[in-house]
Amino acid sequence: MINPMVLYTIKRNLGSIIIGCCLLACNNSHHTNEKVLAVKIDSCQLSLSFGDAVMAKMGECRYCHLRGDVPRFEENVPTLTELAAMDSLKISNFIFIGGHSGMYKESSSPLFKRKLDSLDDCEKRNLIHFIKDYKRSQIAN
Amino acid sequence: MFLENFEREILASQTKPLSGGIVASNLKINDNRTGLLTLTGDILITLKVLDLTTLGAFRIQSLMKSSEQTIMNKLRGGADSDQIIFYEYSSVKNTFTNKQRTYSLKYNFNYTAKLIQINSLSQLAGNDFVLALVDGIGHRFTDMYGRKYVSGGLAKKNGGPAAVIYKEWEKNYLIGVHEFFHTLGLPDLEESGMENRLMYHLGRVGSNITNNEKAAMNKFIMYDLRDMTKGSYSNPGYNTANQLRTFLNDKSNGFIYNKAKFR
Repeated sequence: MINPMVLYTIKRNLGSIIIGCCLLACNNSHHTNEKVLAVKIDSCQLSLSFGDAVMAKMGECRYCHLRGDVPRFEENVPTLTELAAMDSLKISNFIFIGGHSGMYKESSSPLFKRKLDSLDDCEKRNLIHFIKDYKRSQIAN
Repeated sequence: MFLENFEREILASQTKPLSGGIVASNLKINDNRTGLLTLTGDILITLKVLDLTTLGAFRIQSLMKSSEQTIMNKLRGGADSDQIIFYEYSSVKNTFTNKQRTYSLKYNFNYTAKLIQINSLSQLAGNDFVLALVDGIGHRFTDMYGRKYVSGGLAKKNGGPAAVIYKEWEKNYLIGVHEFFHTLGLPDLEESGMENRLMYHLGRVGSNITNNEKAAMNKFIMYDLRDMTKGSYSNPGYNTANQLRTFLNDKSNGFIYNKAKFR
């Protein structure tokens, strides 16, 4: 025979544990949802007009990387169509890592670097999206 | 294209008048020596209009006149470009050196626009711009939000041919201007809040052009700054007649037009 006082204490403790578990379960599931949401949300939308604006902001690449239907600017400067034929990663490396290193002389290099550094990830993606469009059908409505 | 460019060079050397979609004269660069280059000159933009409709385009002259005025007005007034990295300009020699320099650019061209009706492909030179009037366009497109739309007009960007459904052009002549501005390099706009812009294309077309868009078209028109030092200029060949043929025959574009008129 269990003392009623002891029984009451056991029941109360069990109740606390159950409530605690529920709260923990709720909290855990909440954390999981947050993680899933964090992965799913990507507010960056690709648009050609935005990519065009990024290119202008960068110092207007098209003064040197001329369109493909005209003679190239200089022998070692690829046309826009040639850039567009590369895959996105290669374009990204060309713009942001390798392609321009050493091409800009001391006077303009800091400005170009500043412009590169000022681009966020979405701007970079839109810039590449815009360049890639030169290899697509070029059809607009 | 090489032959067309070669032909242009020969013509230039014989001092014959230049022709084509873009003809520029009196080109000058003004260097204020504090990093601002102002580009001036007279530029004539010519757009040839080819009627390929079955029933005929009865209001073509008035629509061409309205479009001509709008193209001129939208290009005029000057435009400032973002800071650019280019070669240093020597005003003494009127040439660009091989030393790099950053500049702000001001386009200050005096634009004239001319729309000319043509009746056959023989009136189309390799470096002309063309707008074809058609009966219908089967092409559908999906916007950035995943919604589907029908097309009132279609163009191949950056120098390519443009086409517009005549009935739609009659309803709103700005559709023709919108399509031609694709030829001059402008992309479509789809973002909400841009409904009043000429390059908006989701169900309606506005009329506004921004400084940046104007600068982009100026950039397209005078694509190689070094041509500014030559005094006069006409655009390179786009192989326009062939491009138009490919454009109209591309089944994915779904053009409906009077094939007997395409000769």
